[in-house]
Amino acid sequence: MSASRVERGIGLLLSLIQYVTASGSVTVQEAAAHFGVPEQRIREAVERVFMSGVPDGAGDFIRFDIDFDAFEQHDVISVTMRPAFEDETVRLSAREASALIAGLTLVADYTGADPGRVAALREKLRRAASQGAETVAVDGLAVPRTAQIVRDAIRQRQVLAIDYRKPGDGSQRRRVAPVRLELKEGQVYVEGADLDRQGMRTYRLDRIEAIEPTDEAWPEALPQRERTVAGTAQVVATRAAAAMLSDYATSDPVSVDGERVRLDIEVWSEASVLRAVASCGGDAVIVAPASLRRAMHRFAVEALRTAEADAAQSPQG
Amino acid sequence: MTRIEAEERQFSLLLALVDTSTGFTKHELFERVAGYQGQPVGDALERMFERDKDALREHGIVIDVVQPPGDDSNHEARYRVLDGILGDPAELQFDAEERDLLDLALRVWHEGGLTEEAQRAALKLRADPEFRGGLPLERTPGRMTDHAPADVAAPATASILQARQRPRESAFQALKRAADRGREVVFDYLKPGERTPRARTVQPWATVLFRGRWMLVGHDLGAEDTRTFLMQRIVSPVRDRAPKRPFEVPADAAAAALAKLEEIWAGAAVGVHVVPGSDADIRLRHRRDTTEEDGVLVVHHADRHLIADELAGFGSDVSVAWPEEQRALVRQRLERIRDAHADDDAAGEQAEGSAA
Repeated sequence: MSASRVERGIGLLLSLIQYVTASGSVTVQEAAAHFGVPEQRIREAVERVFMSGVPDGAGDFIRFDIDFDAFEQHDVISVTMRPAFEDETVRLSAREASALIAGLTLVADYTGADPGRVAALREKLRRAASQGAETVAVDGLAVPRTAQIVRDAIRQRQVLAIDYRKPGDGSQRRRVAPVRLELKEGQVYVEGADLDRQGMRTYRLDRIEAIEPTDEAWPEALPQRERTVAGTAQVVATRAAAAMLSDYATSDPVSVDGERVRLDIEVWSEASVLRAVASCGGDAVIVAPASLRRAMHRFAVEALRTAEADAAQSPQG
Repeated sequence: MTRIEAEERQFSLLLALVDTSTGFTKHELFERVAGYQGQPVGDALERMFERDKDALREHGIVIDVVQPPGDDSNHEARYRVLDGILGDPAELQFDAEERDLLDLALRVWHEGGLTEEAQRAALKLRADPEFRGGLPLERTPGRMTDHAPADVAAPATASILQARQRPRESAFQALKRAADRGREVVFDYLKPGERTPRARTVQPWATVLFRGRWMLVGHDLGAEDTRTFLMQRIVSPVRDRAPKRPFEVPADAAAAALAKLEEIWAGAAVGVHVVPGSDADIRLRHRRDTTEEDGVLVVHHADRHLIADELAGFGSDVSVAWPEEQRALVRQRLERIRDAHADDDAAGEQAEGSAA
């Protein structure tokens, strides 16, 4: 599958007919910019539409028509005759409407839009869809106060002071110019420029202990995004565990014994990698480097020791 | 056969079907549609017609077949566009605030399972000259391109939140296509907590995103019941096949599955001790619905094996206070991790661990 399939199908032809009609007359350049496709693709689509028509029953067609001179000589598209799609159009498919409604559900609360308006829009989308089961459902995101502060800071270009804790590290105060919130696997991340470290950084929202806007000036230029990677680790994992680690993978998984695969993952911080691998519940094993492998072993031994000590104390035992 | 010809032919087929209220027989279509005209009637033409119907379906244009009563032959069946596929263009026009929200809603799928639908929807919405939002049509899903933080003058709402929900792309697409066509799917599934994948045959109904995880909801033919599958744990390619009998997707399948998951989440909890101020402490407190009772964090979840994986990931920052079963699940995981990482030169640590 690829995005190019979307613009290659008849979808562009259908949309273009409505668009040109609504606009009265447009240049090929304007249409290409509007749809985000190359100008040649628009010309092809125009030619295709205007070679087509509705069968008249006698083996011939009543065809679409445009001002052909304007098209050929000035690259201007203007419709003069539409034998079909005059007052109707192809509605959203159930899947398309589902994607819109689900996307809206996920982000509505982050926009600060009036909930009533959002609900009305959702209904409008349902009405604009051809019948069919709603095939996608999503749970709305809780929007903590922290996210609201970040959202407002992005809009108002305010620098934030954030108390942030990295795994295996104490809490640190950072001055951050936030540029976007990122939603990934159910977690919300803040992306922004760390003004003390002069680099773009990503922060997990749920690791932020405290947050407040400051009066500090917004930086004139934001630093380039870079990621310091200490090295890579080789991991052997079940296919499901490999999928969980795929965000960090630097190589495609290679099958080792039918059920398990080998892959390389980035070591951006030892503590984070140990956590990610441990979250696979034993379905992922660090093969190399040996030091990281030993650290993983130690991680499990220590966790088991803590669990035992806790169980010994606990009356419910 | 070039794609240009196919596109033209499909458009021509659509125009013919849109223009008729009573429908055309296949024979009539073969005579009238540019691209079918003049082709010898036979298997090749039949296959072309089937492919074109599938292509139109990708755009949400479902072709309905009306069989005259008492006639089982294919000859008199009439083809037409299913009712409700076409509507008033005004239905797809939105005011400025709505357009902003839609732009944002579409960009959520910037990367991940619904990218193609979002692009198709954006294409339809752009029939309105005022609508400029949504995803670029020529983006390949999974590739980040619009990273330009340096020129954020006054970010539109759309650039504030970006979603990267990444299911296993190939399985997701295969499941959706099969669902659209009313076909059954067969795949190997590694159930949470199990070691070996098992083949499942499922009538696919809907996809659900719950707490950041994509799931397939459907009727499991082996279990003879509704089941929910984590997409991440579908470990084989998804194959599809014609069902023995056509199946109906319940209209509320997606919403019902989501409600069921919420119910499970509300009812399932683990009590944990956390090291104060640790990563586990901060993250579990921020987790949805977490409460604190007598120094124990009460953490909700939708599956005991998945929460056991997550808790194992926190290592010694966390220990399970109750229930005993959950404690055992986490312990088993840590023991497997320990044993899988035990080497000869780590023997000292191992002895130390078992002595503790």
